[in-house]
Amino acid sequence: MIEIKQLHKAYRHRQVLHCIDMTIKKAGIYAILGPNGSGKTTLLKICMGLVLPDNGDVYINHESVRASNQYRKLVSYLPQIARFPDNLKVQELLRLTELLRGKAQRKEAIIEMFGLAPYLQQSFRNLSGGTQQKVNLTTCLMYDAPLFLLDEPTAALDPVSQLRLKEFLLKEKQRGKIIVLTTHVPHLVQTVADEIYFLLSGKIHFHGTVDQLVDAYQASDIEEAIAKLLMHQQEKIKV
Amino acid sequence: MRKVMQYGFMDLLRSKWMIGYGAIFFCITSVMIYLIGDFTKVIISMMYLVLYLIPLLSIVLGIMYGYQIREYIAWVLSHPISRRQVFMGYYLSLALVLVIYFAAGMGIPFLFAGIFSTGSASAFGILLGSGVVLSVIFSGMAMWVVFANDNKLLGLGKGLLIWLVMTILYDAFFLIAVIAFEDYPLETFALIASILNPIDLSRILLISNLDISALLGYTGAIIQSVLGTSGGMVWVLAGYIIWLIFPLWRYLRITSKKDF
Repeated sequence: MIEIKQLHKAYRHRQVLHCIDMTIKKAGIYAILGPNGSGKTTLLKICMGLVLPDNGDVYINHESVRASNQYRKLVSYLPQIARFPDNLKVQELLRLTELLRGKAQRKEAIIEMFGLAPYLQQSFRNLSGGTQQKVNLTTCLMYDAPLFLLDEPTAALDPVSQLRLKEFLLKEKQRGKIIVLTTHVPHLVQTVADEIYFLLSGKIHFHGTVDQLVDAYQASDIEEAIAKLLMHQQEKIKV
Repeated sequence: MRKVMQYGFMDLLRSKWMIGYGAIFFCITSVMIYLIGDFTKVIISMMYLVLYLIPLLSIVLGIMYGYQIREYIAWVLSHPISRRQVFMGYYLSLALVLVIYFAAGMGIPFLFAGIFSTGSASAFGILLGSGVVLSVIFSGMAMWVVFANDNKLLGLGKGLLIWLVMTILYDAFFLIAVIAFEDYPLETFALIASILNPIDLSRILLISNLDISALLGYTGAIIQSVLGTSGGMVWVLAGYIIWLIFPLWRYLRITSKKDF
């Protein structure tokens, strides 16, 4: 479903992605991890055509993301920072999304899941950061797309919404969806991720399951494994 | 494009800044009509407002709006719609709202005062028309500046510099050039220079249609003497077309290659 080939991207003189190759075909939840500035967001943005790669290409359903924009009908993308027109009401934003993308299959269900009904008539400027993130998630999850690209989906969410989101993602996986997410929450990765891609300085440093990562660093859980991986890397740099 | 434009239009139409923009024109026009009374004199006074205030406010409001949409443009671009359609949609909605508030703010007081039953109707039409064209030109420039400069303050500074150069520095530069090269023929230079400034083009268009040639300025006088009145109009319209296309072309080119 997603095929990333020899992807390179540099911002001015800083190499952000360096020769990334990745193929995801099976349904499942794939976590892209890495420290800040490791290229996670850039990778997802290239998949959506928001950032143009210097070299290489991304194919979604065998269609190059450079060639057309119609593949985006198959993808639900969640941007990292939820910023929307200040003067628009939530209801109008959802309508704008449907105007841009077509009728949503499960709008009401997602609004109910995040308890957004009381906010539908409010303007964006009056919403808290957490509620804005819920609206951001709603514009993405209300489509029954085969592929989800979620950039930090749990950021700013309260624990109840985090739990509901986690259950939702697991249910979607069972329905045969491919979900690619970036996160800094180890607990989420431990409970939902089938495979991990760990990016470090723009390269895939580790690819495998959660258990494989934990075993490789002889850790008790994923948090410790990630910490050990990063410390190991820092020591290598010092040497 | 229609979809983006529709929502951009709604967003901007409700913006307090844009409502204030319309209110400024409404108040100034109403006060001038009330105090001066004579339509010809009111139109001449309004000419300066159109020439100086529209470029300034269009570029400032356009830049403010542009940086606001930049914050969520990545979300819009992640939908199945081409970049060109998205950016054209936002440009057209900005230009349309600026035109609507200007036309309503200035037009309504003139309409209520009965402009169409006087001999000044055509002069009013030209004033309105050049205001509309300037709004559209400076909307394009604002969007170009916004997407060419990631830094908000730098963008706003460049926008103000464009306005300053076209309104004040351009005239000062011309005066110096005329004094320094008074022994040389400056006709060709003046003709080319006039096309470099859409505000000067509007000034030439308005003054030559308002029968106040004394205010024509150096470039206007040369255009009228070299090309004649109708030739001058063709020259102004050609200049307008260049200024309508060039900023838009730069804006669409920059946004087609930019990372969001």
